[in-house]
Amino acid sequence: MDPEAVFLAGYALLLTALAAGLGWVGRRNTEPWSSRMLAAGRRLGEAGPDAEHEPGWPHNEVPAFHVVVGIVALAAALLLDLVSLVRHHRPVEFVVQAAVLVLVASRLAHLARRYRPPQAGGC
Amino acid sequence: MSGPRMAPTRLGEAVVVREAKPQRRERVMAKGWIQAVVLVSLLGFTVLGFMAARTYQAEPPIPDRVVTPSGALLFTGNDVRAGQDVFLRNGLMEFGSVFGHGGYLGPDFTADYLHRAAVSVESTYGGAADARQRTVDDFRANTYDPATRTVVYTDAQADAFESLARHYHDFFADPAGNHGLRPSAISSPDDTRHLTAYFSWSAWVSAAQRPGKDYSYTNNWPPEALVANSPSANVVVWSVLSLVALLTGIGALLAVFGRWNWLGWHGRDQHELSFRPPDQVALTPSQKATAEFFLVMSLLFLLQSLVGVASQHYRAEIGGFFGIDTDRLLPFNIVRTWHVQLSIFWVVSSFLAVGIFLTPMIAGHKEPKGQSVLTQLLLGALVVVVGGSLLGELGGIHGWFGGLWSWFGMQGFEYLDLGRFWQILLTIGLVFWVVILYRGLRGRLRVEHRTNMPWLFFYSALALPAFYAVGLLAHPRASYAVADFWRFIVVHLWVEDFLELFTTVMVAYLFVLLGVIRQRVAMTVIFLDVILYSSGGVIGMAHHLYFNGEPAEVLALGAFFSALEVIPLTFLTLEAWSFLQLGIKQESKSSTPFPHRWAVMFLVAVGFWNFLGAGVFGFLINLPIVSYYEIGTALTANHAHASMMGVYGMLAIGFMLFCLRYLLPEDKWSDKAARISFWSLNIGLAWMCFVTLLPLGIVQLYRSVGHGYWAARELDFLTNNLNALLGWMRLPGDVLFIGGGVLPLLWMGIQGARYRGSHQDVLDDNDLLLFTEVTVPPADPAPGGELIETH
Repeated sequence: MDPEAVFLAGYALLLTALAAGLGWVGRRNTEPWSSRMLAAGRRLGEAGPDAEHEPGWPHNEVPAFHVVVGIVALAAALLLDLVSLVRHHRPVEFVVQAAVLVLVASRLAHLARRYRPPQAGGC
Repeated sequence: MSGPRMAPTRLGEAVVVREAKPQRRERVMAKGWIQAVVLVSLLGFTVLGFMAARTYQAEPPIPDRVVTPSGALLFTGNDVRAGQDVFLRNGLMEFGSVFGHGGYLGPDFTADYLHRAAVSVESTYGGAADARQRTVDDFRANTYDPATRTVVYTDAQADAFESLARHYHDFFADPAGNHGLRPSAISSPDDTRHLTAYFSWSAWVSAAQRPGKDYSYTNNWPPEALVANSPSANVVVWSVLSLVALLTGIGALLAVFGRWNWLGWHGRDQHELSFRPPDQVALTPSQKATAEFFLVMSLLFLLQSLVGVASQHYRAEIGGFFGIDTDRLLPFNIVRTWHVQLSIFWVVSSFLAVGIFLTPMIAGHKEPKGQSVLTQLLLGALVVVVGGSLLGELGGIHGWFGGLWSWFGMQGFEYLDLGRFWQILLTIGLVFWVVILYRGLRGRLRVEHRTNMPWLFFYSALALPAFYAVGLLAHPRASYAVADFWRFIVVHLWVEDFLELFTTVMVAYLFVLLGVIRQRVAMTVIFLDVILYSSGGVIGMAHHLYFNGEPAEVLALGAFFSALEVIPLTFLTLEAWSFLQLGIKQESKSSTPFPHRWAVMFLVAVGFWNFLGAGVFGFLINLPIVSYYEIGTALTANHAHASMMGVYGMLAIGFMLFCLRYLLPEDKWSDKAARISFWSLNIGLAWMCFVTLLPLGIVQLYRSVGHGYWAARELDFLTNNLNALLGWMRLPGDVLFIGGGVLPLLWMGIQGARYRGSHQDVLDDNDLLLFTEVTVPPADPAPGGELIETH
């Protein structure tokens, strides 16, 4: 395989992992009650939130923001892999890059489905 | 409220009040917090002082004479200094670099000279088996004699010098250009010979071993197999130890924070607020005058983005801009200089404006007469400095200023490119800004304990001119290591620590003024911020100084403490501790809509880019062993863009939107414009990093490790097919960034300047409040809760 094709396919996978990581970071609850720094041992006490508690604004914006940046990372991966496929398409290169392309596209579709615009802000 | 501001109407009583010593409000924070801040700051600045002293003691010598074995003179120390002058006044630090510091299009001239000279010397020795060893011996032997201040080059090295003097003359005097500089950029043979002397000295410093050591003055940087330059033991060991420091620090802080309730977050507060609709908040004349700052800020942001595009375009198309020979009028070094300088100017414009905007709200009373005039004078001065310095830099590279080039033209140090005259004016302007703030705050400061929030606001503002002024010590005639030390006080300490401190205080105040967090909680976060950032950030400044001629102990301190800088950024992600997470929702409930959705959204973006841009991308290049191979590559640019634009840029815009929300009449405010700008800027920035800067940096790092640093920086490599492709693919993101991100801000800035006068004036102190209490708040466990007392 051409080194450029190897690099761009590998980089596309790196961006896919980055998008997954961003999704994980974005799912973390950013409310004060989730923080040991703010609430310490008291967060599980009586005054803490109940199990079904949904984060309010602006905390509910955080996951959506991370999802959008993750989508940008995957779109970048898709474009780079696609351009590489056009430039390098010997059989082995085609198979490897097409496989990466399918993986990236499926993750992109998954993330796009997960995107939910939060309710408009306000306290 | 107590003190002179409540002066009675009858003159006699008023005199009595003025003569009475005002009662200061009690200290809000416990003594332990204050002692911790003082201790950490003292420790940090003591070590910084030690590093400054070592910089002067252990900097590489500039020999008086460099001669051949037969005694023939090759060049003198004055030639080296004259070469540094030529390098700086022609803006070459914004084109290429020496010691890895500078622009990213041209070569690193230290590595370039070293490699070319080593190839020449090895070729002179016939390329046989022992030729490599003889080459290594020539370059690593330190022939500097302190008594005569003379360095002796071997004949082979002398031949290499003469050959490279011709090479660099051909390069800089090339009438065809085609390398990003203007055609015939430096055509004087004397100038190019001086430049060669400067490059040769920097290469000698990089390979000759320090007396009594087995590594060079630059800790064996740059990597170059031909002269046996490879990572020294210090580079490897301190990389490992800095990792240990990071992991231990994170573990310790997690354990500590899990044990105590540091911020006093006991339970949900039940008090309710009513945010005052923005058009019901009255504004003072100086607050209205800040609208023009935001217009100027958005114009500078647009200009900075456009010259950024122009500089990026050189990487995709070195010959010009879509067929136009832009290098004649706007060569790479000028557009990059402007890009870098404007990034500071437009961010600072916003910070200055929001400081002035918040002052009457913090003071809690009407402003003294003349504040508005002073604000407009400051804006005028800012415009003069920005315009004058940018034009001066253009004129500087054309040699318009003769011997006064460093005063009015291009001073030449990256980030401190502006001439000293403009630099001094800017410093005076910052002092003038502090005076404006002081006039507005004076009444409030008089009645506050000196560790309370209004004083913190004032101290953090005062630090900005104080530490910017340190940059004046980076004089063009100073030796490189010394100038670089003071330069990074501005680049790192001013930007990353004191701008960070001012930001933290301002964001804290925004939320306190809005009533969504209490003063004590805000102050605890400010004190924590100072402790956490200062414990790593002040000494960690030395991570910029690994390879520029500083002694190894500076490398060790820089590596160890800069790893600690990542800890607060990790907490930002692992722990909910930023102001956003402090709970706009939880600590207060309001029956009226929160008016700052998009300002807060920009703070969400700040949190994200702080983690990714400053934390992940910063740590990626922070270890000495990584920096050894990657310094000055696109990985550095990747970190710089994601953190400078992602953190300070987004903050500046968030501040702008906060103020415009009050400056603009309700029917002129556009949520849609703010939304489009928010998403376009973030998507454009992410695209820039993911599609171009990060992959290009990885490719360069790979080449640097595999072939040598010089190879990762040579123009032929940077403009090869793959790199040009990565450059072109950035285009859609840049178009979105400017078209969707910057232009709506400019439109809002124009609207703000146009309609700022339509706002009601302040009639009494209550007009300045941003919220009213609906219910009585619960008792604050801490004394002096500002909001509780005020309302």
